Amino acid sequence: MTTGQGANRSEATSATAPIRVLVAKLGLDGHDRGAKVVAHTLRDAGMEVIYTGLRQTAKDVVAIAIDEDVDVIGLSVLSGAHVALAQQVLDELDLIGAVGQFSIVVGGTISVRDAAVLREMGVGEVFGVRSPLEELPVRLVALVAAKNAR
Amino acid sequence: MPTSDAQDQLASWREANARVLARASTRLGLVGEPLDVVYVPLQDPTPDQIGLPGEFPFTRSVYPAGYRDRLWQMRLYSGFGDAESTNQRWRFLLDHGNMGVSAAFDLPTQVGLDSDEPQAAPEAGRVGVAVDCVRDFERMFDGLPVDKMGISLNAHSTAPFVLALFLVAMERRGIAPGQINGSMTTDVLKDYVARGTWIYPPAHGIRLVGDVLEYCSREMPAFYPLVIRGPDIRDAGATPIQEVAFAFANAVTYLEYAQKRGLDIDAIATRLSAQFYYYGDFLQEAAKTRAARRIWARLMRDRFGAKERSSLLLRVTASVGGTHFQVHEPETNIVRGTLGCLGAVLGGCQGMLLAGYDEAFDIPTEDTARIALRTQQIVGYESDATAVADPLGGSYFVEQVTDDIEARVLKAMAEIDQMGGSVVAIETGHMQRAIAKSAYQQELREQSGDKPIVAVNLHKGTTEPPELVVHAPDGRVAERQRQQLEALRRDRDTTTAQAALDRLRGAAVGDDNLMPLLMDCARADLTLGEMVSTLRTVFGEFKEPGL
Repeated sequence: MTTGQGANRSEATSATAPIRVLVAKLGLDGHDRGAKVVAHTLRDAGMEVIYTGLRQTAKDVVAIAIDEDVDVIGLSVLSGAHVALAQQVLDELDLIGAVGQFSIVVGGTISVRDAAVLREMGVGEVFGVRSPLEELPVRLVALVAAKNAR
Repeated sequence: MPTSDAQDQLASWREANARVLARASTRLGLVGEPLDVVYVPLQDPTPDQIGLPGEFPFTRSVYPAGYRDRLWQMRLYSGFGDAESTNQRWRFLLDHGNMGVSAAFDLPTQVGLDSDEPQAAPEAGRVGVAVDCVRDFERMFDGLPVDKMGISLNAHSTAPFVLALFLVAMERRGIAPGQINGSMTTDVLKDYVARGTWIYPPAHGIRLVGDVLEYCSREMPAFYPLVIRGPDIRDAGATPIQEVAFAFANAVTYLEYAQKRGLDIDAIATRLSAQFYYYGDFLQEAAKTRAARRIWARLMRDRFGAKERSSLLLRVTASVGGTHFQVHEPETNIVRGTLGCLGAVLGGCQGMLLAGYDEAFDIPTEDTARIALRTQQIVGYESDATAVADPLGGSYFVEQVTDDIEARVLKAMAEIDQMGGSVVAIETGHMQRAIAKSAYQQELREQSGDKPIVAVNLHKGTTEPPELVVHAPDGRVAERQRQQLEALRRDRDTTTAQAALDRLRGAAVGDDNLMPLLMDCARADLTLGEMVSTLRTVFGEFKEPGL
């Protein structure tokens, strides 16, 4: 597991604290090119990024998200199992009563139909393989702001 | 370096055409620097740089008569669901002229999990065929003329286990290892670099590769037991320089290890081959193959002291498709596949896998696989790309790019040597970081349109995303495999099975070759997952370095 820059959360409680994002690879899928490009982009945009490395379970991902006190959990899935894996993470969060604590986003090769299913399940944003990189931080900021306003 | 005559000529030509040249668009070359608009004769196109086909340093091809002697092996990478569905697809492809089979295994098989493991079930049979035991290999190869066709086993980290299960399945059919013709990926180091289907720490992965090399050099003379892999590295975002340099640095590690074990370099080197990716810049991709062959020939002769001609020549299998194929207007990928295929053929490859045009969506259907095979056949039989050996030889541009790629690959390899070799470069994350950086830069170039991709960042049009008929996965594979495993574990002789596992564990602690022991495990009807996890108790597991 890789820890992002400035991991000390105690000083990051002010309104201007950078958004903390967990970029996670679930399951056996070894395609981490997209996850690493996204991590790079978000770091360049001033966010604090934690990348889990490969082959995490939903339980691992939720545990890291809580430990690292992130705002966003980003799931990168290119094996086609995005709906099932996102559901596992949501179930795991539900189990510990932490569903509202995080914004969940999913990236991968995702059809329009599956994107709608994911949003219905409670996923905040769905990114395709060609999503413009400059939009990523903007959409995450908006997502976190909306969550904090609730 | 151009000749001085050519340089003078070029200088006055530049002056005369300064205005036009100033407005010429910029084109970034594969080596990472802008291409000139024209290339002129090289200073030193000496025979020891270029030579003739089939002669050292093999820049111009491995065979004297090129494809007029033999075409490349057309073997589509194929496998999905269970043994039966894969057997059926293979028959379909063989009926359409596929020259052998190239087995695609599912992710659980690639990381050494049986299909009934909780993490495995959602992936069972998904991106490749699910195999757990000897019976699966018997069913998968049922009725196929295995001793008369080429068989590629793309098992990566689990190659020794897959080979053991496969050979025992053949043994039950009365076919000896020596009768098997084909290849196996086996290159485990690239899994840490890029593919991600690693299991044990690198030192143990390398030991298993050594076991396979030693076993195959003795028992399987017609088999290529180690394919040095670049495609996974390239598709993770590497430049073509990194692709070749990292793959060759890994090869150096295997060869040094084999020498340390006392293996004769010529006994193993004659059965090595490499694999690279071929994208759309087909002239430069062809130059890459030419450069790779030249580097390899000198590496084997000068660094490893190989003597046999066959040890010096690099046989190359081409991969075409991957991230080069787009989601937008997917049928346009047929054209991209043709360009990749041309690059591979003009560079003189010995084998090719070409993806279906629906690659960005799912594994191929019967139709998209057939078109991928037909693409290779049309380039092979209908075009003159195969008419002469090394048709690009002597092209000022291609020779210059060949030289440039060679120089940069050698430089990147020297950096890794200075670091202490590829294992250090992996464990410190050097290779992974370099690739991640290239991937990011490439994404920026593609998103900004600097790297044009038709229908994606250029001439987008208004075509709606298609309702493509994609491969429909069989959701019941995991359950059928679970039932088979349950029966297997119930019916096998527990004492024999346990004894075989104990012997495997004992040998793993020492230096014995594990291949014969893995075959004993397979004969005792142990499963892939049981063998892999037994060795895990001895070898431990790889931990990814932080990036």
